[in-house]
Amino acid sequence: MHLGDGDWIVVDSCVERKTARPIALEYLEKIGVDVASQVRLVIATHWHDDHIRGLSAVLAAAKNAKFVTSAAHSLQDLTRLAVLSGDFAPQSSATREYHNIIQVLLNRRQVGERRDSVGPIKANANKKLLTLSGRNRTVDSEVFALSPSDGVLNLAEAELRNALTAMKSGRRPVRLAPNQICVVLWLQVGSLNALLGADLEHVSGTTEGWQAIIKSDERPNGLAGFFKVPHHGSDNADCPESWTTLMPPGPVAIVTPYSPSRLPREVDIARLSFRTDQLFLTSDLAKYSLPRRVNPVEKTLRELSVKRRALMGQMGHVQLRCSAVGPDEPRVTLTNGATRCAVPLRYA
Amino acid sequence: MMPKSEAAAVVMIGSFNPAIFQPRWLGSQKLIRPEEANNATIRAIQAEVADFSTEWFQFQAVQDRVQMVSSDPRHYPALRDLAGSIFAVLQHTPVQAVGINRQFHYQMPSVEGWHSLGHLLAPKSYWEDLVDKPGMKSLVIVGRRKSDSAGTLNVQVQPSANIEHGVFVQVNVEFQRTDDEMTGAEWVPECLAEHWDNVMDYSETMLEHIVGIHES
Amino acid sequence: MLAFRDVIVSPYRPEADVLAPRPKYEQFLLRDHSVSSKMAPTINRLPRESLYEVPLSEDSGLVRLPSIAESKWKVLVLQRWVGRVERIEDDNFVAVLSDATNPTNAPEEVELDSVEVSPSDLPLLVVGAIFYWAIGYCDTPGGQRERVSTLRFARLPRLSQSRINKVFEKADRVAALLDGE
Repeated sequence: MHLGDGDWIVVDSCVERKTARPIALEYLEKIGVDVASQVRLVIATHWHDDHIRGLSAVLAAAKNAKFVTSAAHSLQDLTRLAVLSGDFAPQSSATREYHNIIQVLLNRRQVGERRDSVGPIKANANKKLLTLSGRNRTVDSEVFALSPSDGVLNLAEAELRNALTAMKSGRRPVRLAPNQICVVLWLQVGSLNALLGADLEHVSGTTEGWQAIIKSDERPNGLAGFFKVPHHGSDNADCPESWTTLMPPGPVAIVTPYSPSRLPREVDIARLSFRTDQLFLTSDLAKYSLPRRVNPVEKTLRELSVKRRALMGQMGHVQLRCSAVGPDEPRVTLTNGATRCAVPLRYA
Repeated sequence: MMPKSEAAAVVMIGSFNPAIFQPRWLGSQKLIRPEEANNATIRAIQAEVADFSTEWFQFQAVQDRVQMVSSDPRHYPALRDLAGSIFAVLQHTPVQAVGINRQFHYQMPSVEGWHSLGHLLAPKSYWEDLVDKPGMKSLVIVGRRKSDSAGTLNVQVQPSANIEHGVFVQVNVEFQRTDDEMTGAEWVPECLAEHWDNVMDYSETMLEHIVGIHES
Repeated sequence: MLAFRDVIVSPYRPEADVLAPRPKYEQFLLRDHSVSSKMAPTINRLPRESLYEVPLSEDSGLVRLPSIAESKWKVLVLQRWVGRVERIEDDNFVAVLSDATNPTNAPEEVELDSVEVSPSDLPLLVVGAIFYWAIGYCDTPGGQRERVSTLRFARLPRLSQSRINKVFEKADRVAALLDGE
């Protein structure tokens, strides 16, 4: 996300399969951004594989950036998991990434950097993470965390302990943290607001999830014209009140699919299409194709009647550009298979 | 680029009690399948030497050296796991060094190619003034991997003893124990987990590089 | 060089051989694996004069273990995956496969019949378990080529509590450093 005047933040990460490089780095380099000096924050909203692959490489390249993570994670538990993973490498990319992030932070601290200039900065509800203002700027910007709320700060512990137990016995941990501890972000860039929903789910209580954000008296004012739809468009993350309270009618909304859970489903796309006619999808699950392998391998797979499904396709890109200092319609550029949802998609 | 045959191995230098290394012990620790333990071919289990094999690996140990070899590429990851698992159990066994090895016997496509590879690696012109019919018998290059500087690299190239007009290539990377706090084998599983895949991939790249030299 | 090679044991001392009856060990000693014999199987032997082979004298009493024998089965692997079990159903299981032959390929979700798992690996079939799957050709000693699919569950190193404690001590030092000013 560009915060104006050449300052950027990077939120979560995924990698381009062919180059094995973080997509964010490839994009920023392509548009001429000096990652080392211009990226101000690198944020891990939560520790799920599909959100943090390549994040350590981003942090290593963003030499002036502070690292932000959820306050719900105990640094001690996360570090134990990371060191265990680093030493025994049970192939969990999430723990491996965190191990590498720890290394980057340690290296920076060892050359004398202080924690508040390096991180990890712990994000929780209504915490201001960054302020950019001053006479030298054309636009003032602020970045806030809207979650996790106080009510969930101890939820992560149980799942981290389960992950540690799995790793001790040579298994790969399936999950590292519940979605409720993720960091939802509110960005104010001049007159524009953006809401990045991470994977936060909607629950009935008011002390966690989207209700905790809506009911909070301390969250920033305003309405978000840009919305990153939480949890890949799933209905368990859909809070109808958030659309009417936090956003104007018909915001620009972006959904990032998650193939392992087959999200978003057709019914999710239909529901979201009723909320806004500016709905974009970074890729179409139906177009994920399996690689073609040599004939003996394909023949063996057919003979074994193995049901297979590709979990990743072409990495689509939705680029939104908009002026922050005056009324301006966002200019949307879709590449590599990203689509605008006019009609519900059909899945294979 | 398919070799005629290949093998991978782990070698450990330290202080061992060979009599411990019995298939039955590996089975009781669940490090191999019960059937593998029960059907192993034992050649010797003594105080000074252990030598046995299963369907997919061969094991030899003496008091200062343990080596485990497999020539079945399907089971290379299992070989790594087995070596790591053994020394996770025997964590107090002093191990000073670990070597990860991969070797290939490759059939050169022609006699001319076989000769030209030898000429390129060891140019005859330097020797012909003083040596009649010089030929390369073996070449060993030491250094470090460009992809990962950990460990000392040895690459050995020589005519294959198994295949006429074939080339034998062996890649060996040695890791020394560096942490004085770890006096046993605790570092062995971590070392193998961290470096095995890279050494295996690097070895394939090295084979392609070497046998491709004669074409450049 | 820690290459694998013939293992040389120390001189045989009958009085020290307490674990096995002498006749068996003497029989073992009588095996001839001298370098000058017919073409040696597969450890590619370096010339005796090289730096990497210990010279033997005839009366040294040193024993040379049998060479690592070349397997008579030749396996050509065409495709390898590393799998992680995601869920287990009645008679099948669902796993995510990472392509170990071509890591740039996307991961795949597969459903495999549990009957494909070796019976003695079944106790290892739990959520989160890692397995290795290879498809290729196997040439038997009799020259028969067979297409093979080999699935083996990983038996990964288990961590002792003392090792975990040491790892955690290291981690806690790191966490304290990161948390401090």
